[in-house]
Amino acid sequence: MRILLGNILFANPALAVGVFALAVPLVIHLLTRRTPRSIIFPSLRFLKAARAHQSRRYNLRHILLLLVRTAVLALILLAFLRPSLMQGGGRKQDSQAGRATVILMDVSASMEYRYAGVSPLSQAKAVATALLDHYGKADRFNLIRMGATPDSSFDEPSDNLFLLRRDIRDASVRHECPDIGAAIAEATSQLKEAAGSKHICFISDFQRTNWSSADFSRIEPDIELMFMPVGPEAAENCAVTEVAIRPGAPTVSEDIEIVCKVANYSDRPHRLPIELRFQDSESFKQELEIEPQSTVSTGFHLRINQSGRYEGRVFIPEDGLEIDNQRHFILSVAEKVGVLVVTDEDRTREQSGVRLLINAINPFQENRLAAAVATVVPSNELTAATLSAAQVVVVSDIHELSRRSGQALLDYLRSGGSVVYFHVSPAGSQNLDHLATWSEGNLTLPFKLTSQIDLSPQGRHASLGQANFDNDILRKFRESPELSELKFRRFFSTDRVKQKGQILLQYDDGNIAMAQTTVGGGTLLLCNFSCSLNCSDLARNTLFVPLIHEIIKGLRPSVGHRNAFLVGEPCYTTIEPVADAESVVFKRPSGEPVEGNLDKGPSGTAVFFPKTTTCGFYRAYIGEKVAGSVAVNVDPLESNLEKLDVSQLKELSKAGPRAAFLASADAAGIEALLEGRPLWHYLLLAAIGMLCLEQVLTIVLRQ
Amino acid sequence: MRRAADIPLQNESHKYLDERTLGFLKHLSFAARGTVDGAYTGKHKSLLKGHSQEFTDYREYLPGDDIRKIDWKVYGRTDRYVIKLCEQETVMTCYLLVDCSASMAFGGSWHEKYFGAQDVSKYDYACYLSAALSYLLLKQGDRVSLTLFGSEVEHHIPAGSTFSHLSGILRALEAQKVHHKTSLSKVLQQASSLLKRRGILIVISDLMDDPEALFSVLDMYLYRNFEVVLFQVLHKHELELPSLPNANFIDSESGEKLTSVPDDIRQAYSRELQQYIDTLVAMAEARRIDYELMSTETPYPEALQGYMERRRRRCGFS
Repeated sequence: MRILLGNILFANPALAVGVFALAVPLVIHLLTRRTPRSIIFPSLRFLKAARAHQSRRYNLRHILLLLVRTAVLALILLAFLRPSLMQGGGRKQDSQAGRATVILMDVSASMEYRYAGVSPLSQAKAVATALLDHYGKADRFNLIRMGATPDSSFDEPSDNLFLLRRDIRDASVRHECPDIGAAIAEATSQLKEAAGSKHICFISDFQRTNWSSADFSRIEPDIELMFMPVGPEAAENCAVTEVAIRPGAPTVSEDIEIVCKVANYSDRPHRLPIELRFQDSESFKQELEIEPQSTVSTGFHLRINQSGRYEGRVFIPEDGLEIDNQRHFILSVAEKVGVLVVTDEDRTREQSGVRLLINAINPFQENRLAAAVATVVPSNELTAATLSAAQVVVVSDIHELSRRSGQALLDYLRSGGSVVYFHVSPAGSQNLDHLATWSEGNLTLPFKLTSQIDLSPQGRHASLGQANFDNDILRKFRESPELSELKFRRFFSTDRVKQKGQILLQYDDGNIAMAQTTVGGGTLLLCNFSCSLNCSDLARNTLFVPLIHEIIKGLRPSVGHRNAFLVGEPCYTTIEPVADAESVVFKRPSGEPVEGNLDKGPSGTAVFFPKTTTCGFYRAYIGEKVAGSVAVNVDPLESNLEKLDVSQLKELSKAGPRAAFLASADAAGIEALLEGRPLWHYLLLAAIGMLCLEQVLTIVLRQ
Repeated sequence: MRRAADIPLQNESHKYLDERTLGFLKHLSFAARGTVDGAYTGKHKSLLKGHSQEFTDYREYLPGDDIRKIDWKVYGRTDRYVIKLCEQETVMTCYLLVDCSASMAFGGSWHEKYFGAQDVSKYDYACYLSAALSYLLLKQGDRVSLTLFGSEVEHHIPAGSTFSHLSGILRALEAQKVHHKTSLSKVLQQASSLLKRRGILIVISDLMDDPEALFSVLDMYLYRNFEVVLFQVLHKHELELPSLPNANFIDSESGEKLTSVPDDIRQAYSRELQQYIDTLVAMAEARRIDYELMSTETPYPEALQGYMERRRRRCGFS
């Protein structure tokens, strides 16, 4: 049985009975003081004087020697007790209840980094196995792999070592970002009712990007913590961290720029070739020079002559961490600019503003000649799916927006979409207020609509008094006199909200005619007029069509959004409408089937992959043909392999003395952590030193 | 014709004086440093002048002798210069004060048993010394008195000049038991009334008393023109502590006990003792008192002879 006193673990406490041996020097000391012989001496006068002079030295000599000799025995005795210096979190004294340990093993992408033939994951497995090797009779373990969700071998710590060892052996890297907080919460919950001493053992590379925000405060104070860092001290890694497409939704023959960011997470400069490749197509190459600890951007310029969805990859040479050396993306090239027109108006009416608007968007009879194509949906069919395919959304003459439609519109805006809202209809003011409320602060209107103005009964009209020709939308109309000739009869009076949004057009009476504001990553263009001939003669003017096209062009997202997703998060795309008779098969990048969902709509079908576990292209097949795909990549945060050191972990965990840190991820380090650092040889050395001191004292004091 | 009283120790055996010692002492003489006061003519210079001279003996002429004393008749007969010795010198009285307190019992048979070597107690040594001095003085016609003391005068034999007087002294020495405490200065004061005529006061003791008190009393004797001689008799184990692992020292006079390891305190003890002896020496020198430290380890004839020679040199005698 071992005994823990403070931080010292005694492996042979039974030998403490040898403490009686410490009395030996004292007994010898007393025995060597022989029975004094009596001498009748003439006079004690000089003896007394001498003794007073010498007593201190006499006592000192004998006491010193007694102490030193006792110390020698005490040190030898202590050495035989086999003491070890334990860190907090180490093994506790044996008890019937044993030890309950939950091993939290990091299986994030960075654990795959290879150096000197090993990876942090292989080291983590060895460490976890070594922990099990120190299994005591009553000890119980559990393994939780830290992924996006904690993956636990058992519901609570168990003594089924066979299954635990198997799970450790079979643990593999997940390319998703670990949710450390969830793993800690799970471990704490499992240990809550556990008997005996409780331990949580963290085995990880302690990547700064993942661990710096870890919250240890919820761990109960009676749980000991062990931190076992694995992986190299300084890891070099280069990664492709981002791929962006400009413009975000390019059309055929349009100049497209694929912007790639490459990061160098090392302390030396790198010169790397970077390659862009589309499936079964030629590749584009460049050379990059990247300074230490920095990121560079480079662009590939190309034109696509055929519309479609292209699976593209950008990659750099492989290094220690391969998963981030390439990045997947989907390039959607549209034949035309897709404009979604949301309206509740009857388009069949001659003077219908929407009808005129749609005609302006696509003036050609045949779509093949059009630069933009309008798709019309009523406001109650406004969903994420219908919005996903649109490059610009035009809202005109709609009834009161439902909450669902409003949220879909706001989500679309937040994710970088562009919306043009002709809000002269009776519900316009109300809808704008609703959108502002539902946006929870994302949308602040640049003006407040106060009352509807109708100048037509008086036969009057308003003209545009001011215009912001610096804006992309109006730039081309700077020299055009027709803008000022436009007549507007029906609009809202406005109260300007200062410093919100940008005013593009103003009526001559001061009311705002057109304003632009941002909502998240997207743009909302508010038009305080209608295309309807009842409201204005805009549609009759020759600049109507070019104005609409400049609006569409100016609002098209410059940067594409969601050309890729991160591993672990649900991802989606839209494909062509799927007939009921057709079956869709979903496959992961390796070709194996995977779970997927469909949401069929009139204009398209939304495809959802609820769970992605690896990088690559997840595809939806109709027959043998790929109907749609999503690109999934590792989180760029996993590429920065900088790790927290022990002092930072101590600071972060705030566990104080109940935390132990593994010095080296090998058998010796684990032994030292669990069994403590042996002290017996230090004690023996000290005993030898004391013996030498005793000899020196004997000689010196005798002199 | 020599009187029986003038024949030394005839048919007697004494512990402290034997034939061998007698033979050793034959050639020694004890001279007074200054003039003595004596009623009788003796060897020593007298204060008194004009007394009738009676020829007693011849001795070789030595440079410095009074040439008026040269016996020219002997020179005529023998071609040798000799001096007539006459009884113009006065008889000296010597007072021996011998310490017989308990501290003088140190040494002797116990030491012989324990240390396995011949040993003599301080008292015995003092008695040997006293006996030798008594004989010496009586032999040269001087008078000797003996006073034995402890904390007070134990036994007093007035001065006498016969050898039967010597026997009495020897018997008194042999019969005396050592006991009682020492109080030397008190005894010297007490003895003052017993020592009427000036002479030589020889104190044979271990002198374990307060030096100030001791010399204060001795000053009194010096004032009375006594010559004072101090023989401090110490045992060798008093001069240097015996080598014992542990000793329980018991004061011979007070019975007080003290346990110590002699090895541990030897140096300090020697220092303390030497300091005391140095004090006695300094105080004696300042008063022109003869002080002689005698160790029982040194055979007393040797010690006595050494003292005599030193004394002779000091007194200017050949």
